[in-house]
Amino acid sequence: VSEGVEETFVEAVQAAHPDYIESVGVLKPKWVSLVAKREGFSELAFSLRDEFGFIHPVSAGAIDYPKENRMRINYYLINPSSRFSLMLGVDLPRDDLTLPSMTRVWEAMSFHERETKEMFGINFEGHPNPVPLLLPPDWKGGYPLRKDFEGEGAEP
Amino acid sequence: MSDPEITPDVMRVSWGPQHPMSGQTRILIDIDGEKVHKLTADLGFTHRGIEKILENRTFLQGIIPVERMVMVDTANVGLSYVLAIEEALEVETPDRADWIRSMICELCRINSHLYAFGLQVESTGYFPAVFLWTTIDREIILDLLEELSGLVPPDLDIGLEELSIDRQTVRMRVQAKSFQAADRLGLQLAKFGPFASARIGAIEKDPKTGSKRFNVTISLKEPEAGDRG
Repeated sequence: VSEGVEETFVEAVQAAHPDYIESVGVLKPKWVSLVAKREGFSELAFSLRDEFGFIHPVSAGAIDYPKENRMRINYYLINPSSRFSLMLGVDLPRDDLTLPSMTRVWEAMSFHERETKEMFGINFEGHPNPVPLLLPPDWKGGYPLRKDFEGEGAEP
Repeated sequence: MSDPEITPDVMRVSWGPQHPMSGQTRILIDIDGEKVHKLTADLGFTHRGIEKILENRTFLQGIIPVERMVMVDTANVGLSYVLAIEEALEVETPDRADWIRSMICELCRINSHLYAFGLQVESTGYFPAVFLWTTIDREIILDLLEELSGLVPPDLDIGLEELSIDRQTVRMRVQAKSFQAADRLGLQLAKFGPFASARIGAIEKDPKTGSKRFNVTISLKEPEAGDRG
């Protein structure tokens, strides 16, 4: 592997989508973090799959930042041919947690988005089957992985 | 679960739940005769909330719940957690630690593979003895890991045989490996504030096993007048 492949990739992504990208950083060799803007997130995802080869969805999840009144949703992707890993993040304000579902782009994100929805209360628009994955169907205890979650049985 | 499109011909069958211990995974199958229309996976209630548990723990305390994720291969799960923390804290490990870690992880990996092979062969229903063979081989590894992690210093190896509690007196019959254990226990109990006194009776030696037996009598302090209300 030659030096600077990450930088080449970062420049290529930034040149292709200057309007959709908030920041890009290299975490490790062959491991890039990309924070996208909320607008145009679907277009960016389609482009990452079709033009940049990130066809393998690994995982998805969220991180709660209550003091900054935001939540970061992370999609973890791999490009199997170049062995690049990508952490695709997007920030949402805590009072408007809506994001288009990425199941249209990577169908296997379905389970991960269902889990993120029930654990953090993020509404993925257009998800084909938005029912709880791990929690009981009659769960009314709020969103367990939020930082302000009080405990089992607490009212939402 | 989404409602199935049940017509007179299509029937919903629950395949599973499998594995009564670690969460009931099942698959709902909509079938028409032998033709499968749809599969719906139900993962069961496997979420243990480890993320939430770790929020209220120090990094060191977090190793224990993380290792509970895998029953037979704890070292590899624990290692990935520890490596992530070391990277975040920018801690560098010495070579010796890396070598020891590699060996422990390999032992755990072989252990886990033996378990899996054994179970798989046993699940065919034809060769249940294979699971016993792999269990015998696993025993070697478990002994090694026990030697590494479960070694109790001889002066702490104390077992309790009997315990009786009166109003203000606790009587214990204790078995220990060595005389040092008896001394140490007496010393520690004497330091403990709420006890008025802690006496250790005559130490008998078991001729068969060589272990030491003795009685411990602890009297509690009389509560002071102010404490009663």
